[in-house]
Amino acid sequence: MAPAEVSDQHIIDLYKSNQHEEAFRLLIAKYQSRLYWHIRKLVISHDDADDLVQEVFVKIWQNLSKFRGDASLFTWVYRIATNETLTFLRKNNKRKTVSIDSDDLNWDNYLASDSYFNGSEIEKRLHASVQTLPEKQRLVFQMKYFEEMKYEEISEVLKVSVGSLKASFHHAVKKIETIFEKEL
Amino acid sequence: MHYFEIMNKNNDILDKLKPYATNRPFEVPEGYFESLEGRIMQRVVNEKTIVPKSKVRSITIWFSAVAAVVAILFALQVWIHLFEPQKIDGKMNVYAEMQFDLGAMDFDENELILAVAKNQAIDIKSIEIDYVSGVTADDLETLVLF
Repeated sequence: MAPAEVSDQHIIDLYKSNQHEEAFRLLIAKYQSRLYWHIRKLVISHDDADDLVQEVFVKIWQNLSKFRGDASLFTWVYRIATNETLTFLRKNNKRKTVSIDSDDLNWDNYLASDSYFNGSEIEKRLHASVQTLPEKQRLVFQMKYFEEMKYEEISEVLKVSVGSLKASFHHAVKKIETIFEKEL
Repeated sequence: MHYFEIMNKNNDILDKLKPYATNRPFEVPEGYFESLEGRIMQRVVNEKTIVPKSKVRSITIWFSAVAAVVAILFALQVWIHLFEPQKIDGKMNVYAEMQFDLGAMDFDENELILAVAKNQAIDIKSIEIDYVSGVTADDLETLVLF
């Protein structure tokens, strides 16, 4: 069975039957790629994303016994990944606050020099522009637009109302639009 | 412009950008995901062998508490010893004196006198027998000590 086809319930049942390591290996196989890309687009750097995704899974392992099933396993692991990433970003002050319209386009320069980023000019500009959004708008935009999550799922992960998410997404879209309307 | 028109206009732009909104430009080292599980498991094993900071903190707090109690008990004992010495010394001196007296009583008076006289180079013939036989335990003690 492909990792993506393994149900969350099967993983939880395995864990509850004291097959902790087997359950955890299945959880890694199922979510490692998705969590990595979720983190990677928030921190951009591969090295940071690699370190963070490992840290997230260690946290998951340490707290799996406390998982009560109030939320789905997917929501729970996503919430841990998001919180860890936000903590990392705040601690390391990685967020650049310069405007995408200013002459000093830091994220453009950063992506251009990143050996693990190999996108076209428009791809670079799209991801650079997303980095300039305020934290909440960036999270919502990424999860809605890039990861194609439903508002209800995002709401459960971020513990924010659907209405608030829609407003944040709308503001994010308006900002992205101002950047690209002259180009497209 | 009406809200829905703005939304539609935004969505048009987003639709045009959608083909670029992929993971494609972001690259990972070759074989990265194949080795990720192994590295995560290794990190979990390493975490298991390291005592969590919270446990270290807890042990430190308990150790400090025990050390504080021991220090207080020691200080208390020192305080008692310093501020009640006479009572203790008094008991000890009385006991020592009693021991000495009892020890002196066990001696044969004549043997003791002869030994002391020999030690002091005193001519035993010059001492009257009556005087020797009339020596008390206190006299003997004085004679032995001084």
